[in-house]
Amino acid sequence: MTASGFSRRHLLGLEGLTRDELHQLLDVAVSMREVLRRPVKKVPTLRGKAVVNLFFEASTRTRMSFEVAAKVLGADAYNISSSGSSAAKGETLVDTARNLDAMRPDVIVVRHGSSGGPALVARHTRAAVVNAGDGQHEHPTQALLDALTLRDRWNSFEGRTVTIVGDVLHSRVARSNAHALRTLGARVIFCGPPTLIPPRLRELGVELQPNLRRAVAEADAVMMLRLQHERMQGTFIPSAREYSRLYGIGLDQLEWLRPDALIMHPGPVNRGVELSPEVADSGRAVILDQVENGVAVRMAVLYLLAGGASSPAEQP
Amino acid sequence: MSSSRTLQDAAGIARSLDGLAAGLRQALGEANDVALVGVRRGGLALSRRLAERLRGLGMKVDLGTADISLYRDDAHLSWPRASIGPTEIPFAIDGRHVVVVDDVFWTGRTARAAMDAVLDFGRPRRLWFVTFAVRPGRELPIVPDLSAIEVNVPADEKVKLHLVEDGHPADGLVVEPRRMS
Repeated sequence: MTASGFSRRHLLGLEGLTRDELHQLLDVAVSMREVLRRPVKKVPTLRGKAVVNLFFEASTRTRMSFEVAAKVLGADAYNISSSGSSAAKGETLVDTARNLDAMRPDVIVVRHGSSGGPALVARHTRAAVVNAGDGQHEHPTQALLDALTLRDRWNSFEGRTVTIVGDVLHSRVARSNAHALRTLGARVIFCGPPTLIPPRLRELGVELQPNLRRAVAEADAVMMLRLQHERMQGTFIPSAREYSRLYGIGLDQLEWLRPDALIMHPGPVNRGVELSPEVADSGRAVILDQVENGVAVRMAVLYLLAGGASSPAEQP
Repeated sequence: MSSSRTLQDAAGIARSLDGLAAGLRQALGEANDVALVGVRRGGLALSRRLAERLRGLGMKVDLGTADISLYRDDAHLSWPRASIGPTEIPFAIDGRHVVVVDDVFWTGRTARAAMDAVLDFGRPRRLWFVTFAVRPGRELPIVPDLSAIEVNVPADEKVKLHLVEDGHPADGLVVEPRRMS
């Protein structure tokens, strides 16, 4: 790693990023957060750059925070959602990518229901591509904002345990977090119904503890995943109510956690399912810090990918 | 290529800083309150030294720092800097005398970026730019209000203000060969 640059062309996932690269991204995000907290939230860094948000799945936080991130950095942000786009008329993703590319965007932020959608776009554009969540693969900026939220409080990940609870199988958030947290030095435990735990856990370097009480007892942070009704084409759990009883955290379950353990949620919270309203709104939950950090890490990603020439080889 | 040489030693630096502080004190006239903003990284230690001297002259001094990475005008040309230092201006600058401090003034581009950065925090009554050394070679119509020394060296050499706070063994104004990257 040279001091001068982050040399990735796209951000398609966190798998394979080094610990130095992750810290570098988080360091830049800390500086970006300072800009967000100023009275004048605007810097000219990416003036004249075009950022396209290409979202084939619903999103409030992620799309909005990429848009805020682009605009605070002075870039122009354009939002395309699948319902109002030619995708609804049957245009393929490759054609969409090629057509967008002809309009010369500098960054394309892609959310897609299929794993690998953003990688496919990346092969058909000159723009830098950022994965904003693809199928059950990765959601890198979510894991970066989670890592920043934790690093702010811990400084180091060594000796820390993060328990990720819920629908791990369908969760790109869990996968990206497993890659990031393991690389940064934390221990990761997955907890959830056996039907919602991916088969090849060992490759991710995580441990499995199906019992919620045991899984959260050792945790320095507990990350609750959203029950993803829209991704469940089959019977994975008997009912949301039973899921909540076994894997939700209310005031009673809060007693199982260490007093300093943090509670995280990527949003949107299904109140009364993963977290009871009392817990979601308690001082233990850092959900709104996660949201602020989300804008900061997306600014860092846009800055590092959109700033400068498109690759070191193209520099004079 | 020539080797490093020292243009001013510690005693020279101390005299120059006394002169800069006195000059600034005089330029500020009636005003007894000033905010200094050191430009990262070269202007940081210098701004602290100046603040100390101005306080010694009876002034009330606020001290902040600015990182200009996000205000550079070559973002579309160069690979982005992966490290950005904090910008900390934890006081109001509206209606005040604000002095941007940097170690070396050369093209004026850093000065332009630093002024833009500071102006995002408010509307000073008067914005000043003070630098230790000035090199000929302006690329923008900007000149510092005050400086201690003019240094005319070829473009393949760089001028650095070494201060002990930054880990240098002794204070000194140094000319070094520019490393070709």
